[in-house]
Amino acid sequence: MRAAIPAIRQNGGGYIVNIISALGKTISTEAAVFSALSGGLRIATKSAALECARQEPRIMVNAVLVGAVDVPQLAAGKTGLPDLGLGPTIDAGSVAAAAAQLVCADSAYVTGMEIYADGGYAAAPAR
Amino acid sequence: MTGRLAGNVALITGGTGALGRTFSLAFAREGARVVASGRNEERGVETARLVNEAGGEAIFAPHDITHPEDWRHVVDHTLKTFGRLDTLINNAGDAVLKPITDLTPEDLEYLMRLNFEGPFLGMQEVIPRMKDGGAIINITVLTAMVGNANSTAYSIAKGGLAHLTRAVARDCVQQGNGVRVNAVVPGVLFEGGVVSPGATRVHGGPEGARRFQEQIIAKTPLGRIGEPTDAAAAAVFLASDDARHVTGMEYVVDGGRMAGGN
Repeated sequence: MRAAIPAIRQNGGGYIVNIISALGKTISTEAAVFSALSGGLRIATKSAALECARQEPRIMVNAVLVGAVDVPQLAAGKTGLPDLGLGPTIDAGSVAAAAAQLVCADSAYVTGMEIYADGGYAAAPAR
Repeated sequence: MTGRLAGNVALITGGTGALGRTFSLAFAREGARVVASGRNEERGVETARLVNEAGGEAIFAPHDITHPEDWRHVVDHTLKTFGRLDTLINNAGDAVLKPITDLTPEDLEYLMRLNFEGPFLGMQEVIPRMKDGGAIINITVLTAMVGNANSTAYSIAKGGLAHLTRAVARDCVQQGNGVRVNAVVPGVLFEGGVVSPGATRVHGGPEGARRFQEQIIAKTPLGRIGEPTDAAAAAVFLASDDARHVTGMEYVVDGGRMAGGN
């Protein structure tokens, strides 16, 4: 964001979207640091949104919170991650679709907001 | 027509009002067939006419959302006319804004019935009748998420609807019925970014509406009032296949006001 914001401003404003794990909102075992860092990125997103909203040309800064994304490494068990219990996997195309929603004129009045592409995972209590 | 909602049939309550009309037009533009429901026949028929005139397909259905039998009839009528139901937008609602000490029991009952019980009855009716899964979109308000002066009864009714959204989303995940349940949370949205004369009832006349406009702009990080089409864009996304993994969330369209508060 630090590198991109000046360039986007120079271009007349625009959009930033951060892709963040749903573990930034809820929790799991064996993921304390990952959750903390993801939660920090959520707050950084909102802080950047406020700064970028107050200064023209404006930049809308939002996030997509994702569950376990169905990538080949995950299917092959090669992510090196413990099973975080993130529920059914999310296809990567739906994450891209959510990100696309946040980087077009549809989101001209949306900033500091999060789309949860996680199958409802973060809306439930940790288990 | 980009057709993000091609094949989709949407029931939009409060299709008689400004926001419901905007939803109806936006959904039709994306290829959905629309049932705009409500109590005011003249305005509902006008919504359907505007949609049809723009090349879409819509009908009006008379509907008091506080009556279970009305829901039954409207959904029957939708299925008879269009053969399916994919999306429900619980948009109908109303506000009474006064300090808690001035609210009457009748105010509370009216707000709960219209903003909470109506959508509750609607979800009960439509979920079993969405045969291929579907999307429910509840329209709440920022004061459903945070406290605000003069909003006690209104905000508990809408806050109840916000929580109902999360709970029903989990119900549907557990039942595996393919119905996704989300909320759109609009900030202050008016066509052209100007508080409409119609809003003067709740804000105390034209002078009140003008002051309200100034306050909102000062409080909004993006520095302006939004457009109803901004909320419609969020609803289109939530109804579309793009949101296939999105359920139980609140899609806030408020110019950044809630960025620090949720």
